[in-house]
Amino acid sequence: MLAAGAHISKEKDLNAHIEAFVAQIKRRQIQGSYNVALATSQLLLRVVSAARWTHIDQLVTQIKVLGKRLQSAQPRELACGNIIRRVLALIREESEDTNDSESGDGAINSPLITSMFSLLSTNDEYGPNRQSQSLSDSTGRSIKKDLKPYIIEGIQELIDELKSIDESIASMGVEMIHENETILTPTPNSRTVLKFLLRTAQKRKFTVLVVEVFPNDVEKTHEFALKLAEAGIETTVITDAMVYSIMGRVGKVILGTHAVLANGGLLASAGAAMICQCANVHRTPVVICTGLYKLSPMYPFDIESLIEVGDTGKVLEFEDGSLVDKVNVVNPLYDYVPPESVDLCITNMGGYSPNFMYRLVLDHYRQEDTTL
Amino acid sequence: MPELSAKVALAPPGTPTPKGQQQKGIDKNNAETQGAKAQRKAEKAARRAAKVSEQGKSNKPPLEAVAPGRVQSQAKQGRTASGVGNASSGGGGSTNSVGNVTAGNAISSLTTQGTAIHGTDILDKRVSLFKHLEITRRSGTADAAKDIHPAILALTLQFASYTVIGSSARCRATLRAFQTVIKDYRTPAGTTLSRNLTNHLSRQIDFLKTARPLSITMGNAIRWLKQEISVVSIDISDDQARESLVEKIDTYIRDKIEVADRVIVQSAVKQISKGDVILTFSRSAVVEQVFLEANLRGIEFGVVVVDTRPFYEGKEMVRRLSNAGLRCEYVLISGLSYVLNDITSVFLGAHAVLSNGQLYSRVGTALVAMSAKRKNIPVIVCCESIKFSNRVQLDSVTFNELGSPDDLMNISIDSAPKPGPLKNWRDLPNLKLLNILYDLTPPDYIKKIVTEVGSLPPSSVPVIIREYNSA
Repeated sequence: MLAAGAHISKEKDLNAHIEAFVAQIKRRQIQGSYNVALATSQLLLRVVSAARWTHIDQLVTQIKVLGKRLQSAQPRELACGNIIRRVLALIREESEDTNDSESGDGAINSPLITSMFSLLSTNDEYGPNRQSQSLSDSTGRSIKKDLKPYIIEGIQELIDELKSIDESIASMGVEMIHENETILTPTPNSRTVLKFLLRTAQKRKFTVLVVEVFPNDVEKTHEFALKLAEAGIETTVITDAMVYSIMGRVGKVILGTHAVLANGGLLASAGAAMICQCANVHRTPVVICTGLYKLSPMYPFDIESLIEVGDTGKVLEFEDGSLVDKVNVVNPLYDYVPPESVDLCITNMGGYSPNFMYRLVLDHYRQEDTTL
Repeated sequence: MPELSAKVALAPPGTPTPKGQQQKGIDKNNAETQGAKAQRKAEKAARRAAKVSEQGKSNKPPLEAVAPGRVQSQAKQGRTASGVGNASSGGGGSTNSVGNVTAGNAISSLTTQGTAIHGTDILDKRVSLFKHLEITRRSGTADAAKDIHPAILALTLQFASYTVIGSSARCRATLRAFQTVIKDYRTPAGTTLSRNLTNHLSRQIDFLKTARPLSITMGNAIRWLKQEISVVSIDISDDQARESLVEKIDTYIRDKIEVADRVIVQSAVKQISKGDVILTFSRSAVVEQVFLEANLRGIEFGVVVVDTRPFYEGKEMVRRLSNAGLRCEYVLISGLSYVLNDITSVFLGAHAVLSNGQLYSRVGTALVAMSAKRKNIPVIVCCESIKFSNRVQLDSVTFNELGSPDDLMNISIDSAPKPGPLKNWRDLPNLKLLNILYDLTPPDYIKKIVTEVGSLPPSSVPVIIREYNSA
C-alpha cells in the first residue's frame, strides 16, 4: 500500500517533469539540437527508470506516445524525435537480445535485412511477420529477465556519446584541413564547427572566413569570430553577400547543421543553401560536421514544412511602422541544402558521403519507429 | 563658409571611422602629392585652421568628438609648418620634409585623445587578399586646398557618408557640381580656358576621389567633359565658353541618364506581365522606375526585394515601391533560397558592365544571379550605356572598393548604430573585418542587358563600346 502511494507520487512527479519539458521546448527555452537531444535523453532516462511494464511492448508504446507529444511540441526540432527513435531501437534490441539468449537461436531474431550479404545465407524462417512473432513469442519470458538496467545503461551510453560527439568530430580536423588553407564557414552558430576549428588549429595554421548569416544570432556569430581570433586563428568576418566574390580563394566550406535527413540533405542556418551552391559553382568542397543524433530518418518531401521562419523584427525594425504595414517581410531561420551540394559528412562515427546517410539511418533506427 | 563648417562637423556621422586611418591617409596623400608645395600648403592650412577654429567658437561646437581633434591637429600642423617656415623651403622637394613631421604630430595628437590607434595597426588590419586596394578615407574638408570649390567639398562629404549613392546618382551629382564649378571659374591671366579649366577640374576630381574612388559612370562623364573642354574654341569669350559647357553638361545628363532611363523603362516594362513575381537586389534607380511604370500601366505583379548589410539600400527601394501601391516582399540575402521558389524573373541594376561582359555591381548581385540561374529564372540587367566600361576583369578581388570595416561591427538594422560583440575588434591582431562594396557577376548568369540602345546579351557589350568610340 505504501509502495503504491510512493509510486503514484513518483508518477505525478514525472508527469510534472514531462509537462515542464514540453513547455520548455515549446517556448524555446531549450534551443539548439544538441541541448534538445541531451535534455530529451535525460528525460527518457527518468521515464524509463520510473516506468513499469509487464511486456516490453508496453514500454515501447509509452515512449512512442511521449515521443509524439514532444515532437508535436516542436515539430521542427528533429533531434528530439531522433533521440526517441534511438531509445526505441535500443529497447527493441535489448528485448531481442534477451529472447536470443533464451531461445538460443540467433538467426530468427537477427535484424531485418539491411544488406544483400545475408540474402543468400538466411534460413527460411525469415518472414515479414518476424518482428511481431518474436515479440509475441517472448510474452511471459521477457518479464522473467528485467530489462530495465540494460535499457538504462544503454541510454546512459547514449548520453555519454552525445557529450563526446564534438570531440570525436574535432579529431577528424587534421585529415580535412591542410596548412595555410582558407576555410569558409556559413554556420557560425555551430558549436561543433567551433570545436572542430579550435582543435584543428592546434596542429594546423589556417585562415577562417566567417560568414555573418545576418540577421539571426548575429551576436553569437561575432562571438564565434572572437573565439577563433583569440585562439590565434586568422579570422575574417564577411557579410553574406560577399561569399561569391571570395569563394574562388576558399579551400573548403565547413558547415554545421541543424538536422541531417535520410537522403543526405540537411537543414542548416539560412543562407547555407546559397553558399553551398556558390561553392559547387567554384568546385570548392563542402564538408559538414554533424553528430549522429541530428540524423533523422525523414525524407525531405515537403521542404517548406521543415523550414522555420523567425522574427521579422530582426529584418525590418518595427518602429518603421508605415513600411512594416505595407511590406511582407520574411526571415527564414533554416535552409535546406540538397545532398548534391555536399561532398562529405563528418560524423562522430567517421566521414561518409552524403549518399551513404540512409545506411546510417538503417543502422541507428528501426523502420517501425520512423513514424512515432 | 559657416554652412560649410557645419558640414565639416557633421561629416562622418553614419559610422564611426578609424580616425588614425584617415589621418594617415591624408598625410600620406599630402606627402606624396604636394611634395614641393608643402610649405605653401602648410601656410594655407594654418590660415584655414585659424578660420575654422574661429568659426568653431562662434558657431556651435562641432558634434563629432573628433572634429576638434582635427581642427587642433590642423592648427598644430600650421604652427609647425610656419615655425619651420623658410628653413624647410630648401628641402621642400623631398617628401620627407615638413609634411611628414607634421604627420607624426597629427597622429600622435589624435592618439593621445584616445580616439585612434597606432598608425601601423591599420595596415595590419587589412585583409591580406585585398591589401592592394586603397583604403578610402572618409574625409573632412578641413584639409582641402583653397581652390577646391565649395560645391565639390559638399559633394565629397555626401559621397563619403554615402548619402549620395548609386552610380547614376553620383554621376549626375558630380556633373551638376562641375556645372557650378565651371560657372564660378575665372580663367587666370596668361592662360586660356581650354588649357587651364581641365587642370582646375582635375584638382576638384582629385579631391572628390579622397572620399571614394570614382564610379565608372563618373569616369566616363569626366572623360567626355575634358574632351569637350579641350575643343572649346579660343576665339569665343570665356562667358560664352562657360555657358556652352554648362549647356552641354545639361544635354549630357539628359541624354545619357534621363532619356536613357526612360528608354530602358519603356523597353524593360514589356518583360513584366500579369502575375509575375519579380526579384530584385538592393536598389537600382532604373529598375525602380521600371517597376513603377509597370505599376502605372496597371500590370498586377509582385516584387521581392533582397537586401544586404551594411547599406540596406533595398529598404529605400521597398519603401518607394510599397508607397506606390506595389505588392512587396522584403528579405535579407540569407533568406534568398527561401523566396526564390515563386520568382518568375530577376531584375538587376548595375554599377558597370565591363568589356568582357562581367557585371560589376553591389556585392551580393552575383549570388542572386547565380541562384536564379540555377533555378532557370531569367536574369535581366537594366543599365544605361554610360555604365559600360573598357576595363576587363575576371574576379572581384583584383579591383574593388573597400568600405569601412567598422560598418560590420555595427549590428543594428536601422540608422542608430549599435556596436555588437566585435566593438573591440581592433585589439585582436588575428581578427579582421572585410567590407567590399562590389562583386563581379559572370556573363553566363545574365540573360540580357537592357540599355537605351537596345537589349543585348553580355557578349555584345564591347560592340556597343566600339560603336561609341568610333562615333
